[in-house]
Amino acid sequence: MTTGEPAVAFRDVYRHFGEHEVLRGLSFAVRRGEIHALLGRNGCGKTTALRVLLGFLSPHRGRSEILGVGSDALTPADRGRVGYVTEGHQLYPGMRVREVLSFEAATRPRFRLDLAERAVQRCALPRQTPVIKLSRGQRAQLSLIVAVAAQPEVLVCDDPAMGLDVVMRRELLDVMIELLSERGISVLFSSHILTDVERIADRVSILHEGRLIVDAAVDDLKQRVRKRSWRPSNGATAPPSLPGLLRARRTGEGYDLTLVSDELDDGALRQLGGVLGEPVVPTLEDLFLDVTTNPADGGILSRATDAEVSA
Amino acid sequence: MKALLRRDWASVSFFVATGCVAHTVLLASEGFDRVWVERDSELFGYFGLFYWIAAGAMGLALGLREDALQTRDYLLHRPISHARIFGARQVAAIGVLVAWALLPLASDYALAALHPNAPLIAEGRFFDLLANGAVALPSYAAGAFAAAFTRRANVLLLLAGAPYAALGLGMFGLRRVDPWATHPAMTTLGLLALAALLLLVTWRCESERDDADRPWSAARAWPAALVAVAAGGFVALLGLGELGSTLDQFLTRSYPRLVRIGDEPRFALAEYDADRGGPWLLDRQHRRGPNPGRDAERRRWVSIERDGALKAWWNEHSKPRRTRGVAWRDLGWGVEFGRAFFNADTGMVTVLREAERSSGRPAQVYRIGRGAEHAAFSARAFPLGRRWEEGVTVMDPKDATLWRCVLADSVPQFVPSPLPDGDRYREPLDLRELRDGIDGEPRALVAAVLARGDTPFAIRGERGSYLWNGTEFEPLPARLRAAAAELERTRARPTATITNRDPIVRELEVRDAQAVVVFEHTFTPQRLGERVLAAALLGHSLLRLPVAQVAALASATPHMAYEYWWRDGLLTGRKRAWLLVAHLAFAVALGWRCYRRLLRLGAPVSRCLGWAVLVGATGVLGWMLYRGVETRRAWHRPPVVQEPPRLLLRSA
Repeated sequence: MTTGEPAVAFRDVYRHFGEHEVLRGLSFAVRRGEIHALLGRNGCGKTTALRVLLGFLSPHRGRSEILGVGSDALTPADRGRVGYVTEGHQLYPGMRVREVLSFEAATRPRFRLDLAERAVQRCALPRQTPVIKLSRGQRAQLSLIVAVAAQPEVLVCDDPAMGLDVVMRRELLDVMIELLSERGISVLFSSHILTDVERIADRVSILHEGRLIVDAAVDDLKQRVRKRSWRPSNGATAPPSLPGLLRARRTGEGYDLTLVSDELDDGALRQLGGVLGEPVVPTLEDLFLDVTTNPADGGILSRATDAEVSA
Repeated sequence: MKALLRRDWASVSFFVATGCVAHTVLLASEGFDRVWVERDSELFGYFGLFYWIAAGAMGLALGLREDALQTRDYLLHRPISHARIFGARQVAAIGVLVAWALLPLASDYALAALHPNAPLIAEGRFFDLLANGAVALPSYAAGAFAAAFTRRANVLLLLAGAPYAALGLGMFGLRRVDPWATHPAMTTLGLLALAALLLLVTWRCESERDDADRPWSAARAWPAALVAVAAGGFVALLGLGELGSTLDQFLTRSYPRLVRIGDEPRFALAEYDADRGGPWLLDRQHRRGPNPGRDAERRRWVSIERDGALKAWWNEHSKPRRTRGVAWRDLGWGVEFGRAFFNADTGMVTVLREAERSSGRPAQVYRIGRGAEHAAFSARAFPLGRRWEEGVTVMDPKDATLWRCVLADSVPQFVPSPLPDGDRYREPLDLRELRDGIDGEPRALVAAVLARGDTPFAIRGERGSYLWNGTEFEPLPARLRAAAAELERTRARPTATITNRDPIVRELEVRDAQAVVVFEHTFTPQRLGERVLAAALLGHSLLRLPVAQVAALASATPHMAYEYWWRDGLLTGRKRAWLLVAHLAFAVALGWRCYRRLLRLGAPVSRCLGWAVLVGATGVLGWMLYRGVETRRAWHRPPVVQEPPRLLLRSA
């Protein structure tokens, strides 16, 4: 990989399952050393995108690359440079924790057993316990430890905090931050937990119905996106038409407007008339809700799954 | 590789332990004699069945393990080539198979060496039994192939299991489980080659990701399809052979019987239908004629079918299995039992005194031959009588002498058993055959004799028949002589013979002692039941492989439906070309349909042609395979819709 070349790149990737199109022209890149979050609702194509990236699925159109190598041409050596935490934290259930570490050490030349042992100790994982008897959180921690201890140049995590409660999630996040700190590893991870994403991600991409609708740095989002309430004076019910307006959500007598500030024309705002609220910096969760739900749906929960609600 | 093997340690240990225990239990249940002394091909079949089931299950389990544990991605995403991962699994599996064969056999052999009858252990038996384990390799490979061929529950599952089924049917259905009777090394090598081929194709299947939304690559599709279609073809032909055989039997039974009315040279077609007021005489179109009365006429009928030709004709369905080597007989020395093993290879008989075994002392083992000199019996010698029922008597055709095993000073010895008046042995006289072969009063007499507890043993000499009275042969009692004469007379009746070889149309002729044809009739389907069965026979033919049908029609020698499972008796002897034409037209239509559909789905022309040829050659079987592999979903391409980009927010 040459300097400046992205660690991960999707170029107009299409993939369908039967009649259902899951990815529709996905294009984005993860820079070297960047922690990139891939967000989206259930079934929007996050796992498919990551499996395409790792060569476990082939795209029907387009191309993905990891460390400059096409996903369809990854050699075993290339795989040694990429860490992968699978959805559901796949590990052999019959292996004990220490056996998992020795298996990984024996099958990955770059694996740092000392680092893994320290992390296991730090997380207080019972070394003699079979994986099947570990809690979900412990399995997630172990998966992350073995993926990072292999000293990958790119780490791909498929919803590593899925199914974990708040405490476990926080612990996992701490482990992740500790393991990744000062290692310069590029990370691409999918997640539902937006507060976590906000904490560690440099950049987010939001997938919706197979399409990329947001690809931006987290700081940039905080600087540029504002929410304002607007109550029209003339009793108009139609949403306003403004440059830089991402979403207008109906609220009682007015609208909550999500606006991109650098595209916003103050004059246009003033011309709206009515009562305009003070600008507020939205959370990532607010933004996510705004861009991935249609106000006509009647609310985010209408199409969400149980998993999403519990998360 | 070592790490992968260590990973498999738990599952390997489980398989080794389970299989070894099962094999050990099998060996123990069979006992010393059957395992180490007797030469019984059924024993090999019994163990072969164990290997077939256990190894096939292991192949399937190991092949599907990563899917069951959902660890396939986790395993494959590491700096190890797929070949190494696949190889490690095969090494582990072969280790298990070797352990299954070797450990229980070695331990049982060690125990057998300490057995009082250890001298009886057949030379080379250990390696024969070990070689029997070679069956496990292709069974394992067939299981692995089934796992790799398809991981989806559709029609392919049937074909994925075809090599496994073919192996089982080949071994047990065709009774080819006694390979060491002929060329053990060649058979073992053949099994190993089959295993290697299956594993190679399994590797091809596994090296490609299973993706329902992509067509199989040619490198995966064609080898797998050819293996599946070859094995499936074998299974299908064997199954259809059985179906043809059954239909043929039903049709044969539905045709009228041929009877002779009393001793007159008068023959007729008849039907025994006692439930509907029969029997009936039938005309040449198989229509019912007069009912001659239930009893008076019936008593005068003699069913020709019992007289040889027709009986043999039907009984060809169950040809007796040939065995060779050791046969054993209960010596029947009153309370002192013994067992004898006749070895046709050496011409010697090994005798084991059971009474001494049961008392806990080591049994005396004797190897004896003819007379006090213990000369070897000739190569054509054979033991007489039935298992467990008569004493040990050996007939030596070299000089037409009979030798009976007796205890002389507590030592078993074969002594000549002369027939009265210097008669010479001709053949054994089976009293059961006598009982079953005659009607009327003599039959009841024989049945009464047979009902005695000591089950008499009789032979036929050149001048008369004789019965063993416990110490010597004596002429058959008068009443049994009459029965034997009746049987001779019955045998001398005119014989009915089917002169052609066709599953549907049967040409029957009856010749008298001077070979003059006294009756003939051509059986063709006339009644509804006969027509339905004939139509079913023709219909089953359409399910066979067209390529096999072409070969059948090319065969000049006609045969019955069931005689050769791979050739359709309806076509052999260059009959019913119209049936082949219809069959080929059907297959070509299927092939054409397959070609058009694939072309429509967007497959390359070479692929369309390949499938069309395969379907044309293998008919319904190939069509099933093609539909399983070439799904609409795999070739589905949604139309490319140029949509405006919907990126709401992007930053550098």
